[in-house]
Amino acid sequence: VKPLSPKALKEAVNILFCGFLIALSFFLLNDLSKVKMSPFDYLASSAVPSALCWALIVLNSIVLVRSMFVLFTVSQTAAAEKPVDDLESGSISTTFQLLWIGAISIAYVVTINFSLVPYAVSTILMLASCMTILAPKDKRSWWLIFGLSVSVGGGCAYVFTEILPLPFPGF
Amino acid sequence: LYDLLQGFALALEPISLLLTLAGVFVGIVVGAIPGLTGAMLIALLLPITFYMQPFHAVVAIVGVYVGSVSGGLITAIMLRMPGTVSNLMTMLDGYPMAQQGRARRAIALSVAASVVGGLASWLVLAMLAEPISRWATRFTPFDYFALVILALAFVVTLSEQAFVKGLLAATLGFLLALPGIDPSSAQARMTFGFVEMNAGIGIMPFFVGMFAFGAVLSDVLNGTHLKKPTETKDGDDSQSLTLKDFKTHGGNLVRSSIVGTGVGILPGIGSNIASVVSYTLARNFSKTPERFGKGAEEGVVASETANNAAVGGALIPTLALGVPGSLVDVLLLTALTIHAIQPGPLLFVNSGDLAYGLIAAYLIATVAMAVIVLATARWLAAIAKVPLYLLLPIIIAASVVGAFALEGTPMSLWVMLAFGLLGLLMEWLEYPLAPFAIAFVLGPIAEAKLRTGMQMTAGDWSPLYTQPIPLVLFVIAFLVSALPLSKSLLAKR
Repeated sequence: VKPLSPKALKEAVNILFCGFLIALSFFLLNDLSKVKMSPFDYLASSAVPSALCWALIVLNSIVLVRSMFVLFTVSQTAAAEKPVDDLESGSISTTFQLLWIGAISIAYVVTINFSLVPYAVSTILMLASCMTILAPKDKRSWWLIFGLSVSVGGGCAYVFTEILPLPFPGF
Repeated sequence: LYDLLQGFALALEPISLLLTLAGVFVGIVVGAIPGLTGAMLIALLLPITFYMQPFHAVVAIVGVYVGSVSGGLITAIMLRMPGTVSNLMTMLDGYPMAQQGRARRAIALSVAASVVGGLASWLVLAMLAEPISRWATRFTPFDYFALVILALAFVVTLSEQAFVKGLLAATLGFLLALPGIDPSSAQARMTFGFVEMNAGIGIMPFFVGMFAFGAVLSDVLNGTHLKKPTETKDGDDSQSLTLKDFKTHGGNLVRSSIVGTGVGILPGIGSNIASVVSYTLARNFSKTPERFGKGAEEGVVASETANNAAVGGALIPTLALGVPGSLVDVLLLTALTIHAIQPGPLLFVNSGDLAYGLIAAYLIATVAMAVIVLATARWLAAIAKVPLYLLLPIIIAASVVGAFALEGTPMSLWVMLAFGLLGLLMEWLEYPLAPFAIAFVLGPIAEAKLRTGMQMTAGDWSPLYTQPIPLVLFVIAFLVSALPLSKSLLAKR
């Protein structure tokens, strides 16, 4: 199976996105149908959201059909396109970095929401790991990354748990 | 005039002046950090103001308010990350200017425009507050509804290259703002039985997710962190401002000041919409509209003039009517209320010295903001020289604090994550984010006004098309939407 070109990939994801939004609209319409109209209300609580759901279905259908047409056109001309070059292979590494940063951010939020690790520790670990992943290999300075992570993470923890006591997990 | 002079005497007292300046400085620094906003800082400052005199508390908040609106312009221009939403339009042309090596000029233009906008709205605030507040109170809910629809039409036309996608983004933003307990009927809608959803989607986690966390992810995907930071040309005379610049942008400054102040006066519509409307008008009036989004100075001037003018404009309904002009004004009202001061028409009767002192403090804060930003511009601009691979993780940490600070619930962090990912996806798929975000803010206002109007007319829709104000606003909204469409259709032929 040949990998999709970047343009085709974008259109394919757009089709999925529109499909998801159409499904979400129907799901919301189903929920809104259970909302009863108050006898003192001239416009039901569900009226405006329902109208928006229908508008979303129509607009998404238009965009979806357009994307399908573009995808079909792109796949027809795909044979004429040149093979993946160095620039595109470079984008694979940024995609890899993005996945890592996304995963670390989710893990960071999980540790805070479920109070798994003290805020100071999780912040320092998040900062150090993100900086390590994002820094180019030739410019990676362990002292800088370690020093900055500890000072910023420690500073944040001091300010936001001691001076301005936010409900972050403590020690 | 006597009352105003007394207000100045009060605002120039050493402690008041010190608190105003400190507020402006902290506001600028916080506004410059994406994810941290003036609203969040004021929310965090509220408990501290319990220990202050009422006037001192209020001037400190006004200082933060003014500083935070302008502080965000630095990161909007240098890093393509607006510190606050009101700097979003500044980013559209400010960042391309920085990429072209004109960062210092973009900042200087923005600051000058901010001062002009701030001074213009101060004049309106000080001299015309009472008559304008009387005029604004005559607006019916249907008038407000039509006005919000007009504002949304302006926003959608910003994305004329992808009109349907812009409309889709606005519709989605409007819809996502509505889950929770309906304030009119007290019924839960689109909550799926989750108690956490009863309060709806928080505005702070939404904005932090879309414009701070989402921007980090987008930069990583685009490899921005691997690029060299923009070098500014130090000592280049062409970068500094001259009187000729004021002549060149004179019309734009006057128009944007009027738009900013006018939009700011309207309750619930703050500096975000002011900058959008002003930017759109500047592009429509421009001889070179094709340069907008590619480093047009007119875009930066229009946006910064209007968003600062809106601050003064928004203070008019806040002080005179007790109706918040923006999110930050809600917090200002809260600060007044916790000090047992009742905002509204009686404020000028019972606490006239405080009201005029606040008006005087706003002028002092505007001037101080310009001095501080210009004096520290080199230092603030140095943010751009910090490698992004070091800065981006810090922005993630700031985003978590920003989303968490106002509500302090786990839900706010999940919302921040979700909207960060949605923002990344929408940007990658070329859906405009501005209509999405603006509709998220204005949507609930439009719905509430429509329903209030319906209650007042016992279910009669006719005022929407028989009353002159809604009719005129709808016609303008239609023309605003139809013109770019017909333009693009003609261009295709």
